[in-house]
Amino acid sequence: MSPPRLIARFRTERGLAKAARGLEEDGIGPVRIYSPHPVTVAGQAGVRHRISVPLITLAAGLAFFFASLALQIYADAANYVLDIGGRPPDSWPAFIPTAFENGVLGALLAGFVAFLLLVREPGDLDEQVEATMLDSYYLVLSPGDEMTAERAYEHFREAHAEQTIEVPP
Amino acid sequence: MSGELSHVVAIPLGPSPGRWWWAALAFSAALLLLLTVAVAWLFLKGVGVWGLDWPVAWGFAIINYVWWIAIASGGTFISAFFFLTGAEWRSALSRIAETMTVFAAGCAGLFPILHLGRPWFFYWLLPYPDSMGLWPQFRSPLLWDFYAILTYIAGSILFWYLGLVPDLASLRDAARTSSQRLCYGLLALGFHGSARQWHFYRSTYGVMATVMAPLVVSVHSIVGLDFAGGETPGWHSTQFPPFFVFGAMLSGFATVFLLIIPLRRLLRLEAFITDRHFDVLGRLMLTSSLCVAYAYAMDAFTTFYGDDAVEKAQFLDRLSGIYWPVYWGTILFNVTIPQLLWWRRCRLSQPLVMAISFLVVVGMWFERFNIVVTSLHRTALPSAWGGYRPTFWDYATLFGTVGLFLSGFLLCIRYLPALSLFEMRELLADKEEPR
Repeated sequence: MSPPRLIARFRTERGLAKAARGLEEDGIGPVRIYSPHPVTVAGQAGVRHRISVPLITLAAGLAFFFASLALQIYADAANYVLDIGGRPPDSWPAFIPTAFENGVLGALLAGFVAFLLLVREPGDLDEQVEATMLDSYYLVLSPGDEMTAERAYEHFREAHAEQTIEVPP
Repeated sequence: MSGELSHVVAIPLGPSPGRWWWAALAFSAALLLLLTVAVAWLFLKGVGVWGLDWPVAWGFAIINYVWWIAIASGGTFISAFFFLTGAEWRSALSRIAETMTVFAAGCAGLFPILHLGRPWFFYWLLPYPDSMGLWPQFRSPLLWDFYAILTYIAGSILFWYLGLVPDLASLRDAARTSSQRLCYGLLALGFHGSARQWHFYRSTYGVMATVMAPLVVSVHSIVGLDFAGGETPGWHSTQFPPFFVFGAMLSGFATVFLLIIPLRRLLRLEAFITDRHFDVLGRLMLTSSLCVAYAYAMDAFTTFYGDDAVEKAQFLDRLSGIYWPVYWGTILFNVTIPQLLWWRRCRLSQPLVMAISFLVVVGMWFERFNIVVTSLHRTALPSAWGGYRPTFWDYATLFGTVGLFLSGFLLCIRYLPALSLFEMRELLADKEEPR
C-alpha cells in the first residue's frame, strides 16, 4: 500500500521553487517534481541518476563504428580481395566514412531506445498530477507524520500554492 | 494552458486551420498523385523514360537528390546546431525546421533508389551474406552516401519525434475527444513531466543534437564526394565537400523562410516568430550566400591556377556554352540578389525575403544542374560531348516530390503543434521570472 501523499499545485515555477527550497531547508523530503518544462529546483539539482544516456550512446556509437570497420576490413582485405589500382586492400581511410555513419546511426538508435526504456515512470502516477503538461507545476511528497505534514503545508502556503491535496494511502 | 500558447494547442485538436489548408493540401495531393504516376511509369518502362543518355547519365534524379538533401540540412542546422549553441531564438522555428528536414530527407532518399536501373535490387548495397559471395564496394563514395542518407533519415525522424514527445503529452492532456487522447497518449510514451523524465529527456535530446550536428556536415560532405571522387572535369575538386555544406546551409535557411513567412500569418504565430527571427535568419542566409560565393570564386581560381586545359575549357563552357543561363542564373540568385540582406530593412521585409528565398531555392537547383549536367555534357574527349533533354517524366518526378514534401508537411502542421510548446513555455517563464 502506498503511503499518504501531499500534492501541491503551483501556477508558476517560482512558487514551486520557493516551496521546494523551503522543504529542503527544513529537511523534509524526498519530493517529486512535475513541471510542463524542465526546471531546476532545490533538492533536485543534486539528484544523481544511475543511468547515463550519453554513456550508453557513446558506447553504442563506438561499438557500431568498430564493428563496421571490422566488417569492411574483413570483406575487402580477407574475404573478397579486389586489386583496385594497386591500392592496399586494408587501406582503412576509405572505410572511415561508412564506419562513421554506422557509428552515428548506432549512437542515435541506442540513445532513443534508452529513452524509451527510461521514460516509463516507476510506480503509479497520481491522477492529480495528470494535468502537468497543461501549465501546472506539482510537488509531491510523503510526509510520514502529522508534524512534517503541518510544516509542509506551511511552506506551501508561503509559496502561494494554488491547491494542496492530501491523497490517502 | 497559457493564453499565448493555447491557440497553438488548439490547431491540432480543433477543426482544420482554415480553407487555406484544404486548398494547399489539394494542390500538394495533386502533385503527389503525379509523383505516383511518374514512379509507376518509371518502374514499368525503366529509366529510359527520363532524358538520361550518354554522356549525361546523371540528370534530374541526382540534381533533385542533392537539392532535397541540402534543404533538409538547413533544418538540422537550426534544430541541432543552434540548440548546442544555446540560441533561444531557435525555439520558435525548430519544430517547423525539423519537420521540413524529415520530409525533405525522405524526398531525397527516394531518388537514389529511383535512379537505379533495377531499383528492386537496392538492398544489394547492404552487407548481408549472399549466395553470390559479393560485398558492396565499401571504397566507393556512392556507397558512403547510401549509409549517410540512411543514417540521416533515421536520425532526423528520431530527433524530430523525440522533440515532439513533451508536446504530444500536452496534446494528450488537452485532448477533446477520446480518440485524440488515445492517439496522442500512445505517441507521448507515458510522458508526464516528472523531474526524472525531464532529466532523461534533456540528456537524450542533448546527446542526439550533439550527434546530429556533425552528421549533417558529414552527410553533405559525402554527397560532395559523390562527384569529387570522380575524374569528370568540373567535379574532381577537393573543395566539393565544404562547397556542398555551404550550399546546404543556404538552401536550408531559404526554405525555412519560405515556410515560416506564410505559416506565421496563417497560423497566427506573430507573437512567437518576430522581427528578431527574420533578422537572424536573414543574416544567416547572407553569411551562407557569402560562403557559397567564396566557393564559386575558388572554383574559378583553382581551375585557372591549375592550368588543366580540359578543366579550363569545361569552366568556360559553363559561362558561354549552351547552358550559360543556368550558370549565370546560379550566380544571380545565390550570390547577387541575397546581398540585399545586408540592409536590415530588407531583412525585415517579408515579401522581399520571400522573393529572395524563392530565388535562392531555384538558384540552388540551378547550381546542381550546373554541376551534374554541364560537367557531364562536355568532358575531356569531343567524342563524348552531348546534350541533355529532360522529359516530361523528369519534371513530373521533380514536382511530384514537391507534392510529397508539402503533403507530409501540411499534415504535420495540422495534427502536431507548429511550435515547440515546452521550449516556448520555458522562454515565457524566463521572461516573466528571470532566473
